[in-house]
Amino acid sequence: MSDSLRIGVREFQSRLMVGTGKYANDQLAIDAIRESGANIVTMAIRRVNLGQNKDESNILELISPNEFTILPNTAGCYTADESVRTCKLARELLGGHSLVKLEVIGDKNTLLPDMSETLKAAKDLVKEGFEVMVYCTDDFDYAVALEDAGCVAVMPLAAPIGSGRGIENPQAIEAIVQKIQVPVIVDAGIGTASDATLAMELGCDGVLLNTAIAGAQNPVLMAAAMRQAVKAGRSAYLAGRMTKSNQAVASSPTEGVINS
Amino acid sequence: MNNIQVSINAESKKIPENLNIPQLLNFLKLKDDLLVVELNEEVVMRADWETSIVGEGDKLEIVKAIGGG
Repeated sequence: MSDSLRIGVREFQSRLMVGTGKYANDQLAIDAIRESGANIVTMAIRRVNLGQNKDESNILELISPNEFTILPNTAGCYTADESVRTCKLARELLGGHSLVKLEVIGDKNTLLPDMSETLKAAKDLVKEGFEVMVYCTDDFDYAVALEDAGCVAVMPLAAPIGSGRGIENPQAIEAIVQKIQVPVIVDAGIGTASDATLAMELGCDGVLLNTAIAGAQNPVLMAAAMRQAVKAGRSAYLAGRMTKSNQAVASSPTEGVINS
Repeated sequence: MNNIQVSINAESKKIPENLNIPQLLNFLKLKDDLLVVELNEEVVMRADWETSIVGEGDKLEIVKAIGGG
């Protein structure tokens, strides 16, 4: 049964999206990313090192747009204007590719998004023809406003970036899922496989993570775990879980027990 | 040949005058693929690289993709 993820006009087989940062080396990164089964991979845009070796490898040679859908992010941007500039650079770098991950950070210690700047940037980017997947808090009203602004995916955090604390406010994520029509993707804060499963069981359309794999003791094995976790959570959501009961309900028939 | 003063990635640099973008990248010993150039806060489309000449006081950003989440 096909259960593909549609984001804007694009369709993806995998509901797991992964970052490319923090790996000990390039080979480990590509091995883990391939094992994850992800179709969408995120990258950051940064200044070249002017003293760099001309033969220095470029991540786009290793993790190629021919194999993956590259999702450039605006990590490190603190204003709407900086993030719009970064997206324009990314679009030219990737030959006109307009799918971007918008993130506008409010504070360098918490790395929580600045939602008013994020909303402003989202509006500007949509006007410029970008397909915006937007990183946001789990604030319901902002999530709705971002969808209204034309974002193709709304991506509330589970917990702060790189914290690995898992889904701190499942009720807030569930409320967003129930309201929003475009895909809801939990982005940031996932720590281990059960966190990814829970996100999918809540009805999220996908999960985006980086450190949970790159920071694991065995990133390739964790990548496999995440692939399976997202699939398991998705299946459980589609299957429809049983009703919870406050009391025990016997699974075996109560009649015909010997000596009764 | 005269030099001009420009800013590249927030570093002050002296470069020869009348360089277009491919010549500038060559001067900086940068491979010219898989990177993108912004001149005075406007992206320079690759089709315009040959005709974009760097002038005195120009502000350039040269960026590439790196690992990120």
